Amino acid sequence: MRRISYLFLLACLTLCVPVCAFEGEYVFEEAGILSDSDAQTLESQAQSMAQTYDFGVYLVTVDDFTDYGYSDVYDCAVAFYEESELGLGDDHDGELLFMSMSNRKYALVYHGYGDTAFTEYGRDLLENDMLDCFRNDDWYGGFQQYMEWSEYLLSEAANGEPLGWGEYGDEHPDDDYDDGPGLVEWLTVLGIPAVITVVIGLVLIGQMDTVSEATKANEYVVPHTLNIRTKSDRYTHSTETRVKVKSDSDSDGGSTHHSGGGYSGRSGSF
Amino acid sequence: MPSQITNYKCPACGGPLRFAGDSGKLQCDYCGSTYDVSEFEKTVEQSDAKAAEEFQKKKGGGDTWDTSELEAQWGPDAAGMKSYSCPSCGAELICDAATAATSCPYCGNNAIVPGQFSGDLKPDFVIPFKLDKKAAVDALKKHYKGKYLLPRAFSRQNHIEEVQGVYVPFWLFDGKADADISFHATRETSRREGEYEVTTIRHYDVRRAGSVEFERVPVDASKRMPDDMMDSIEPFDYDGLKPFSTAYLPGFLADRYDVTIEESARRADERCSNTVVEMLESTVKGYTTCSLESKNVNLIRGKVHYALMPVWLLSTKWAGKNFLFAMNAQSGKLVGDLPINWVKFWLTCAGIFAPLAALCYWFFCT
Repeated sequence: MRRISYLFLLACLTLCVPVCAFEGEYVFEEAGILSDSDAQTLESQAQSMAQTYDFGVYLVTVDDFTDYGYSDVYDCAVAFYEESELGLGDDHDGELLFMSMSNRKYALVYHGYGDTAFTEYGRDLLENDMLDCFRNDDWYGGFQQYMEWSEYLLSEAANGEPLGWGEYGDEHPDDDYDDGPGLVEWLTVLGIPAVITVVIGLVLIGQMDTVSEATKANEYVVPHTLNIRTKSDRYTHSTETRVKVKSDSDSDGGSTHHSGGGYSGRSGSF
Repeated sequence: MPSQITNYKCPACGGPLRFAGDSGKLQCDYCGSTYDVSEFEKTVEQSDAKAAEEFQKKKGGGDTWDTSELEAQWGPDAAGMKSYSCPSCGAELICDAATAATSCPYCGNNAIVPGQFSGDLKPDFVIPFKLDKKAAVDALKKHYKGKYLLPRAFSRQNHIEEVQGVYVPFWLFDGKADADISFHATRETSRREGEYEVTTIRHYDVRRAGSVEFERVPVDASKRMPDDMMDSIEPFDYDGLKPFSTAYLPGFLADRYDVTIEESARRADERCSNTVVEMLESTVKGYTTCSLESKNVNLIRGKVHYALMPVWLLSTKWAGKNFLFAMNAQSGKLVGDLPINWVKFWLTCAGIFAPLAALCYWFFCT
């Protein structure tokens, strides 16, 4: 078992966080929302992935992340990952789902190989299915989605190309891998020159065509004869649209993306 | 044979006179004598009146050529032709029914058909030629310059087939356009309310009604002249309008109108209507968007003037196709569509596209 941060455990004990039901190598169930057998099942799945892909898939549930002195659930999750030295291999390759149950916050943290094996597209798929269960308080169902999607995405990456690679401009895990430009790149590479060429072409053709029928008689208006008889501007009604501005403290179920310090991930509410 | 055509002969040597645009006088190329238009008009007034009377008499009476057999052989074109006798050499001139001034191909005399400019057909104004033939040729050469897509062979091998100074008949319409227009306009504001960006759109019914007066909107009254080409050489400086006199015509071709006022008014109406709408719309300010909902335009007819405008027509032939250019002989503005070297065009496009695409590839994909 990886070493859980001494400080973190100390904090748990000090603050009398109910310690839990199950605590394994990959599943730290501090909030007590799973049965022992469910937690054991999840632990087995994570262990299997660790052996197959040499990649740690972690699950942590706590009652309230703010008890640990953090105001942001993602920061708390990253601190947990770092302090507990989670992840496998030299690069600490791993993925962490951190759940704060009382305030219904979650964070997904990726490190090392997780940064590239889990594309933004793949994370979207995982997150969507997982959050659907959490919103219905189906905790085990949500964790199952997390495990299953993680395994699938790891297997896709192991087969050569992470699922959805290139969809959002993700980096390929293999530095030498070169699949050529994607659709967006080709559209840019061809589109910009095409537009410039068309504009120049039209200007050149326009020089050759100097004959056109007149449609206005502006030059023949008698000066100062414009007489405006009626000039009315009548207000009739208003329409209003509201668009929510996304922020780090977003709490409508949408997630905030994070990156930096060797970690990437997202956080939000469920 | 009755003399239907009047030509202006030099009182000093009998040579043909022509109107010189640069001096504004009638000039004899043989002896170099020049004459003021107003003085000369008095001299020829009587002979013009006589010739016109004879022309009208002939036009309406039985003293016309029997062309019935010719028409049967030549088709309907013959119906639109007229024959005249050159008073200088006696040659028979056949020209279009609308031709009002021409020159005799046999003796070179500049000839006027006075009957074409009398009674209802007489123009009110004329703008005399200000720029000569050389200026027109120079303008055409200048028109070729800087045209990247112009085939080189066109400017090198191309020969100006014909340069004709033509007085083109125009109707000049005076009038007033009255419009009542409704717009739908919106004004948009945005503000932040907590986590929300709130956009408020205020909708307005905007109405503008008003009128504007127009003076001398020109519409060419000759079927032979392409409308778009005559529009394109506008504007003419109306300060140069002179009361009509046939003394301005020698040396140039001239047509009488063959498009009626009613037919031409449609084009003038459209132009005036578009302008009044545009002017009223320009007074709708301070809105984010403004779209036309409905418009009602009434055109109040004013005077119509008949004027002859000076135009140099230059025709060239290249690769079996004719190219026509027109120059405003008052302002020097020359227009005319030029041929395009399509091979050069596509090669140029490829030459621009390929390096740009390579640059973009290097920038975005490597």
